[in-house]
Amino acid sequence: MTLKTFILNTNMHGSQTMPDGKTINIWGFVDAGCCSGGGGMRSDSTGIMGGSMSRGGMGGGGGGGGGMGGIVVPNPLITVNEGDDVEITVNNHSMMEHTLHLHGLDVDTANDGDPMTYPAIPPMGSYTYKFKAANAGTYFYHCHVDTVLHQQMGMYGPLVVKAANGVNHAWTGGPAYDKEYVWVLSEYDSTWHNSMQGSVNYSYYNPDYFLINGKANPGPSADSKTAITARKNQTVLVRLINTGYLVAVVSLGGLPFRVIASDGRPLPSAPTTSSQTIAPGERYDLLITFGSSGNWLAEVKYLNWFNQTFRGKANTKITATMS
Amino acid sequence: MFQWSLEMKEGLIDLPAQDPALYTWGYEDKNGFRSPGPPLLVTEGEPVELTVTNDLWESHSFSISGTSVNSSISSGQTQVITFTAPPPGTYIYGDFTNPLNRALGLCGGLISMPSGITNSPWAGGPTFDRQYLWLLTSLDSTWNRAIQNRLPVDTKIYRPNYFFINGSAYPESMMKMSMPEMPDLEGLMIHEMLNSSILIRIANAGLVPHSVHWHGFHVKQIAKDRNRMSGFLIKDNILISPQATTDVILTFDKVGKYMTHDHILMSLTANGVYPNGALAMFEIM
Repeated sequence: MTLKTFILNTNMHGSQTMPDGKTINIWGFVDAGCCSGGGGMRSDSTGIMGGSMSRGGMGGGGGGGGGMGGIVVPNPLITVNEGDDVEITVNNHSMMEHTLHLHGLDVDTANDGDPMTYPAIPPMGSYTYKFKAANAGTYFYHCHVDTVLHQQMGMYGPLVVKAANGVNHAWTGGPAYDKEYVWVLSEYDSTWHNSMQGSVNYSYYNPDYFLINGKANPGPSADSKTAITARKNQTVLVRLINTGYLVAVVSLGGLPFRVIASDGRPLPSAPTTSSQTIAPGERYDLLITFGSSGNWLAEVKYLNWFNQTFRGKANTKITATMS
Repeated sequence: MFQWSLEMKEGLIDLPAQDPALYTWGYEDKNGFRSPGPPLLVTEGEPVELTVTNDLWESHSFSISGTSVNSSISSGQTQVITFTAPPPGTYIYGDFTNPLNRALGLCGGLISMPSGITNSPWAGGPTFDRQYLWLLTSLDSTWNRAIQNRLPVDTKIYRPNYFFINGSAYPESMMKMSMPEMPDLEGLMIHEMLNSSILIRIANAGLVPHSVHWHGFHVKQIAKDRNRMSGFLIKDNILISPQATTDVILTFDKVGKYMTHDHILMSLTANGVYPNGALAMFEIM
């Protein structure tokens, strides 16, 4: 039995500067083991304090306008292996209640982070969420207090359960891959972020920034955790997570892929396709085998809630070299 | 034979959070006025006779998605619509001629059960202990007020601000209780037994998609729009588009209290106030 532990602090004093120069307020969970530059616990599959947490989506400490408070959106990637026992302690260093909901991990009520079924973490309090990572796959975590606001403000991050023993298979006994990427898809409504809480009508969502791993166009995003680089004949796994509020459509510039899993479970069949729709809360795992070298421009299109017309997009590059 | 009478008419609904009663349309049957309409439960192959009256001031239709039932009824007229109950599945009835009708409440759910079977959605299908219908709708209160004043509505602009399952929003929806010994097809505060399996028929009768997420469990998605899936999908988050229906089987492998809700989180508001709207709760013992 391997136990992996993590510590997250809540933080409500962050800001992010967007490509057009606008600064927006963000909230988040931050890795308690780091403040600026690098940090986070190193991976150790035999140890107890051995979980792997990294700043998925934003390369390096503080880059890209991370600004005050060390908050990065999406919040740190948590990686564990199938079969691990996991404990995530959340220190609520704020004056509001928060929780951590482990989306898709089927945890019991005491660890579900839903204030409607179990008390939230009070200001300056702490709570340790415990679960067994039973199914390899792609998940995420987010605050579930006043969720419509807290999640939008940035309190979300990816959580990956790798196959048993951390091997690079999509699930234990599943298809192998050489590299993997996590793409967290979401939007920002800057009015929601920059207004006094309660002064905005949260039934009306008008996002003006469209993101992959927290970065907006003008793209394509060259961020090393987003832009895909591979060699001919390599297989790449892309884990899509929709933490936003709009339905998104992901295409890889004509590059075909197989959709092999969703919501942490293998799909019964995985036909080859060139486009995948992903709704808020859903996850899809895409498997790309590069039969040739080439360059592709991937696109995430975000659709309006009514009539599903185009609202905004984010792009990134995919590059496969000969060797 | 299944017989039922429905009257399409104006009415009022109590809204959660701030508003007083809101003008709307809906159906009145022997149990009273409802917006959206009541669930209709039929058995495949049986004769169905629906007596539908149009008490509104313009023509409205009564149709059932995925069937040939499609009758236009003039203002003031009553029509007796007869048909054979369709193949087993989850259907939506209503006036589909203009999105305004469903937004104002002229819609409802229809369940067709397989002949002689009460614990499976089709012969040889997965079994369940109890079944539930979740009819998803929303409304844009500016549309309701415009129609109340006989003003035109631009149906290209829809900004919903109230959200419902079976016409009910949280927290009032927690009073729609279902217990194993007294099950309610439309239950939203659902008490169930450990190791029970339930069938949830989700019907999106509204104008926007919903992305239903289950806390605590994954579900087996077994049918989409009455098409039985050859390989069931195991999901904890399912997208359901306007006018679509889907059926899932949920098996409770642990006790506790767990929420199910739309992850398009505006659906959990009432004119901006959270928490409200489209959520259901399970308590497993």
